[in-house]
Amino acid sequence: MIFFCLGLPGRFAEWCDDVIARLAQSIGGSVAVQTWPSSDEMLGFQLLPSALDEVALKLIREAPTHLVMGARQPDERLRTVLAAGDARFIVALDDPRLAVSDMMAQTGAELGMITRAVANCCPLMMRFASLPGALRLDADRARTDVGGTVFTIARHLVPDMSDAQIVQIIDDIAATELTRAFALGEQSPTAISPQGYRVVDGALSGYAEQFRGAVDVGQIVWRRELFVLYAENFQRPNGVINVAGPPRALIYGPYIHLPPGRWMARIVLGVSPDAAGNSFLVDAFADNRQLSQTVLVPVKGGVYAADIEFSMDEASAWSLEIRVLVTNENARGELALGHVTLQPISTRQPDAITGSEDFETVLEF
Amino acid sequence: MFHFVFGLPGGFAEWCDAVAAELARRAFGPTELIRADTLEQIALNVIATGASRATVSSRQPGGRLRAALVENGRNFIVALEDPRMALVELVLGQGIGLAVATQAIASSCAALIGYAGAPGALTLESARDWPQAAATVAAMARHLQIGVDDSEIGDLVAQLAARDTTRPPHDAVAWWSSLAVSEQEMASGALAPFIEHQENGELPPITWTRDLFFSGDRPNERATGPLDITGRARCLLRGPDIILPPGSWSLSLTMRFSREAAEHEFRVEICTDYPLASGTIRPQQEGRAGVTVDFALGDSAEHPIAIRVSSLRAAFDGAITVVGATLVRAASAADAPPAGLVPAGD
Repeated sequence: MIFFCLGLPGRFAEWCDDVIARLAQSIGGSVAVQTWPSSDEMLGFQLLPSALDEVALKLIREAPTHLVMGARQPDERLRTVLAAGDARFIVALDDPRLAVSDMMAQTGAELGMITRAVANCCPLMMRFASLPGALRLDADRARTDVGGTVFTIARHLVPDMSDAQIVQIIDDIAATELTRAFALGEQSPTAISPQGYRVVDGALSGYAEQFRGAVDVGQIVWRRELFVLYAENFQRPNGVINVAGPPRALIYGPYIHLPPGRWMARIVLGVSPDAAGNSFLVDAFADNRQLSQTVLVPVKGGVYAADIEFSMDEASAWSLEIRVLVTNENARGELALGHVTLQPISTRQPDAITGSEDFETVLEF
Repeated sequence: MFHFVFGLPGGFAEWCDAVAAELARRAFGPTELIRADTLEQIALNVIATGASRATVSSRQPGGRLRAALVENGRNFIVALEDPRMALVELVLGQGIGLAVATQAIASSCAALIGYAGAPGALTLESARDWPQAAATVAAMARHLQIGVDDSEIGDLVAQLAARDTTRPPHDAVAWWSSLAVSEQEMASGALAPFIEHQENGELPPITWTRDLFFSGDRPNERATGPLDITGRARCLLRGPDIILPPGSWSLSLTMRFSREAAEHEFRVEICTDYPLASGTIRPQQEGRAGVTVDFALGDSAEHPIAIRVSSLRAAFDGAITVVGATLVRAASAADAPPAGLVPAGD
């Protein structure tokens, strides 16, 4: 039997995987647990193999009686399959900012990469949670009632399991280090700086609200620490960018999935006075095609907002890229990326940015 | 535990499926028999059935499945049959149309090329191994590491023999002789290279004749005659949706163009689940013209090949007809003409 546990990377989903594995063990036979994708795969930029392929690979590799599939970045194909059948599964929702903290402690990777990895896991979670076979679990509630949560999972996945068996599993799991750390809400030891937390919060607070019951993700802010500077080595565009030179890409990234629907992106740029008159193309790119673009030609130095609207398909396997290019010959001056604000069109609130501010305010020095 | 049986469509592979499933059932208990060509299809079947034991039966297995089995040291069965006999079985035994049967068997032959010689394969041949059923069942059991005793094997062979007596014999020679020349050419062009491959390991050029293609306007209709190009720019022709073995290939597509159609250019695209290569046919004069396009298929390929021919601008009149497509493995295609126009007299 295959048990699916969908959840963000981090302690809560890991704990749920463990509970389900123990339930499967008590049915009898061998049990394999597969967490997919791996941390390396989530942090990388390659297109992920499908979750279903990974299920088959694990079955071939280990031939278990039961497979617990801990899916951290479930895909649309898996959703279609789970929606079509009467499969029962778990959706383990925790604050995605805690997932960043947990992943940072586990991998030690750069904060921007981890934030991107966790952000890529979020968009489809609520769509899975709304399927008929889903049992949605909230981490905060589970922490306060570990036994009750195990009972709920057992009743959902293995309805004919006896109370005595479930109580035994509760007793066994209560003694584990993972349960202790999870139930006490222990923070991962790796601290995130206040500046770093702004990056994490901007990208993920909308999802945290949605997991707590908000209708949609509201506003997402991708700060420049998530983008990539067009340069020889991997660099974030954290400083002033010299525009001088031929037409070329200046900034790109962050390759993060968004929930399907129509979106407004506002790209906030700072332009030095001598960069006035340059032509900057700002576009959104996904699925190997340009989704939308706009051209910004600043008349003087200052802070500018370039707005673009685009749609993300349900079946899109590719994440979104926002690019800033200078398109005129003999460009001059300097440019800085502030941040990119994304809002579903239905919830967008108008706000104003003028070109009168000093361009370095965009850097928030 | 999963056991895998790969084979050409037909009685022998079905017999091997039944043997593997029954061996597993006798040794381990209830075992599902599932049909799956890809990793995803295996997962879908297991999710749907909840099976933890299954015999996976596949007729057009993909490259990623092969890689998974080899990488994990899994043993499997490859049941080979003369493609001609498989064709007879599908057409006369199962009532499947000749073109559909040809496509299915050609795809199966191509898909199995990578399996027969792979580590972990026990390759069985219908003509050699089916008549000595008990020895073949014992060999399969050993290879799949299923412990059964001789009496179980005897019982299983008898059980399957009783089932097989219900299969009516077919007069293959009479049936083949009754086919039109174009039908024989269609089957021979697509299948004969694989017969030679089974015999000596060489893969001569494969030919796909026009009956294997479909009208772009009416996707369920075979492109057996001229296709009207009148109207907006669009896909006029597509097909044949047949799997090819991995490797570098050179495709030569030849078509016949009416005088009006000869004034147009036509885009030729080769794709699987993604585009592989493209070229352009510029006929310039009434009659035959073609294009040669090179492309490569990776080891993990698991989708059939489709050729699409599209007009590039609206036409008031004209017609095109497929003559055929010839595919040559790059190793023997060194002398193939370069991409571009291949003029040929009508």
